[in-house]
This record gives sequence, C-alpha cells and structure tokens, in this order.
Amino acid sequence: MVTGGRRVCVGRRGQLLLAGAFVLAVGIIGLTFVLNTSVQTDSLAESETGVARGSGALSMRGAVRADLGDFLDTVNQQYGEDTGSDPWENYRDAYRDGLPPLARGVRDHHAGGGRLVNVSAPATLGTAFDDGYRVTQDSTDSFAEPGTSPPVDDWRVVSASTVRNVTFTFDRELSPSNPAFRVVFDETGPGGTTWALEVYEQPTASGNWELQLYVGGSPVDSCTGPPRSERARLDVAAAQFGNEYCSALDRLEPAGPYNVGFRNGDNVRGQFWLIVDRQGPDGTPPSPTPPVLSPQIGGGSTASEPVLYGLQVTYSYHSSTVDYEAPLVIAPGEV
Amino acid sequence: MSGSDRRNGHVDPSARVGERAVSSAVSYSFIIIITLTLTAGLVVGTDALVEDQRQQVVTDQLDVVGQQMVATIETTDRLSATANSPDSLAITRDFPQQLAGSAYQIRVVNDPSATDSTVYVETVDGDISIAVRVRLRSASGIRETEVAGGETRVRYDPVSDELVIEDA
Repeated sequence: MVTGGRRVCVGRRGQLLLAGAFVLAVGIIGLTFVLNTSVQTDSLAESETGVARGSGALSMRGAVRADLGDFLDTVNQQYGEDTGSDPWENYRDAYRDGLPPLARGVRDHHAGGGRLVNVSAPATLGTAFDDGYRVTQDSTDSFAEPGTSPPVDDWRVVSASTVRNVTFTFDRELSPSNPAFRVVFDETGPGGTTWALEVYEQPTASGNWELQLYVGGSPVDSCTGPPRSERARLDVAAAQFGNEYCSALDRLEPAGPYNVGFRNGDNVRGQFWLIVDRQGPDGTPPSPTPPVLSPQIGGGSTASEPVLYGLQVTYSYHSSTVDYEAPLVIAPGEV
Repeated sequence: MSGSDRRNGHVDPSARVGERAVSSAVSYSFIIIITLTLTAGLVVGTDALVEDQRQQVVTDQLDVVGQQMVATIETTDRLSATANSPDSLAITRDFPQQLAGSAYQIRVVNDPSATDSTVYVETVDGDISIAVRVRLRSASGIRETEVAGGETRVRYDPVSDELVIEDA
C-alpha cells in the first residue's frame, strides 16, 4: 500500500513538473522572441551608414570639385602666354594633359573601398571648356571707368554674363561725404532684381569700413570691416570682408546673366580682380562680348586677359548601392 | 468507534488513515486546477506581453525604415543638384522584407498645399503606420507611389525632374 501511494504521488508530481516546464518554455520562447526582435531593431538602425545612403558620392563629388577648382586655378595662372588667334588654346591643352592623371588618382584612391569613382572629359570636347576673361586692376587706383577724363564713375564692367572670384581691396575712400562706392549686379532676365554692395568708411576718426547689401534698392544686411586706417579686403566667394566672415556677402545671389557695374567709382581707391564668363546662357558669346573692357583697350589701370572661366567633366560614382553619373561644371567662387 | 471512545479521547487509527486519503485526493485536485489556472493565466498574460512588445518592435522598425528612406531621398535630391541633369542617379537600399513577422509597405503622398511630401511606412494590415515628412531642395518632387518592403530603389527621373521610389 505504501509503495502504491508513493507511485501516485510521483505521478502527480510529474504532472506538476510537466506543467511547470510548459510555463517555463512559453516564457523562454516569448523572451527569446522579444530579445530577437529588439536585436534586429538595433541591427537595422546600425546598418544605416553614409556609404549605403550615398553620402560617399556626395562627399567625393565635393572633393572632385575642389581638386578641379585648384587645377583650374593652376591652369589659369600658368598657361596665359598665348595671345594668338585662339587665346584659349593653351588652356585647353593644359586641361587635356592634366585631367587624365587627376582622374587616375581619384580612381586609384577609391578602388580599394569597392567603389568605382571616375572623372572624364565630356564626349564633346567643345563643351568641356567655358572661356572667360580675367578683369583686373592690379595697381591702386580709383574705380572710375578707365581712360575717361573727366573720370566717369558710373560704368558697366561686365555685360550680360556671370562672374566668379570677385575680390576687391579698398585703400581709402576719397570723400566720406560723397555718395559711397557701389558694385551693382543687375539681373538681365525678365523681372530681374538689382543687387548692390555698398562699401564706405564710417565718418569718424576711429571708424571702420562698412559694407551694406541692397536687394531691389532696399538694405537687407550689413557688415563692419577693419578700421578705416587699414586696407579692407572684400572676397565675395569666401564671404569675407576684412578677413572676417560677412553674412551680407553670403546672401548675395544674383541669378545670371547679369550686368556688373560700378557706381561712384571715383570716390574710392583700390584694386580688384574678377573672372567673367565669355559665353552667354545659350553657350555663345553675347553681344557685346563681355567684359565691356576689351583686352586692346585696357585703359587706365584696368586690364583684361583670356582665361578659362570653367570646366565641365563627367563624374561617375558606382558602389553596391549607388549608381551615379553626372556632368559637373567647375567654376569656383561663382557669384 | 463508539461515541464513548471519542469522548474519552480514543481514536481508531484506521479511521484517521481513511480521512487523510480523502483529503489528499481533494488536495491534488485543487492543486491541479490551480496549476492549470495559473498556467493558463501565465500563457495568456505572456501572450499579451509578447504581442505588446511585438507591436512596439514593429513600430520602432517602421520608424527606422522611414528615417532611412527619407535620408536616402534627401541624398538623392542633393546628388541631383547639378548644373545639368545627371545622366543616371539611383540609390538602392536593402530593407527587410518583413518587420517582426509583419509585411509592410512604403507609400509617398504629396502635400498639395505645400512643397513637402510625406513618406508613410505602414504594416500591410494598416494596424501600425509612421509618417516622415521630407522637403526637396533640387528635384521638383517625389512621384506618388506605393511599394512593398524589401529592396527599394530611389531613382532620379531627368525627364520629369522627379524622384521615383520603386521596387529594386
């Protein structure tokens, strides 16, 4: 009897153990499921990388732009001797010679990362170049129209085009009581807006240079430059006035094509440099060919010379997730 | 056992054994019933907990997919910002086919009163949906579409100047 009773107890205990094991199994399965899905959420979030999203193509495009911009500057500085029937031929030769090694460097640099990055000249070589002129006033002089007597201080420097690398250095303002010097960007398109940069000295002994941006005749932003006793450098592309950041220059965004003119140019002395696009929006030089100043005229201290305004290349980036090919126009510092 | 014996405190041992046997059977029955009840309650409770957690996980994963989708759209938009239209531009993302066992879809709806678009990532049964707004800077818009989860491609269409989302 006692032995039979124990058997009954053991049987019941077995059922209890079975039920307990079942509960434990359900709990473990549920916990595993929850933990697994949580881990999967983490993995999904962590799988987001810039390379997968395509930001590698973006950053590489920026690097290629910067490299080609430097290349363009070098070409413009080193190949300006030719003044023959096609003054841009030397630049084109330099571009043709210089682009393949640059493209090879880009390709090799990214080949190890499983990405194919390439830079090539367009199939039609005629579209690879954008001819231009560099207009300069290298010596310190007034900004009145060159070769005019009495000086004409309201004049057009560039006609219906776009400009880049616009840089001024202001030596001094001749008369703070006279109207201030202005650089005017007059959009030539329908309903075009007039943008103007006004530069002047504060009329006090300890005053500073001041810059004011006008859009459509209304002042919208201003910057204070260095003391008036010092020269003031204005770099539009870098948005700097007196080597300090100037928000007004960042907001200068005229839509090309536009005329560039000086107002009250006789009231300030200094130097300036800018590069003008020779071609119009349709790819042909407009009439009159910009700039207004021709290389032969070059009166006063102002002169112009042929340079390359821009380059066009085909940029391609291929990875496991990104397929990208686009023409890039390289014109660093374009306004 | 007589009444005089009980009064005198004498108890028949065989009678005590019989009473204990009946008590054990009832106890075991109660134990089994209670155990089953607790087990059933635990299973039902765990199931509800797991279901809640699953819903939360699905919501989180939809959110992650939505953010990644919008980030991809914005990158494609930035890549399309060139002076001349890109010859080819496509970014392919390998999203999961299902999220915690739930099939899902990606839907784009343009806001007619604004330049924004809204990307909805939602389960197929419509129980859970998340929305992420996106504003383009270069392309003119995103084509309204609906694609199933999984490998998805964001492509730039130079003809219509639109971004197109499609199954890869």
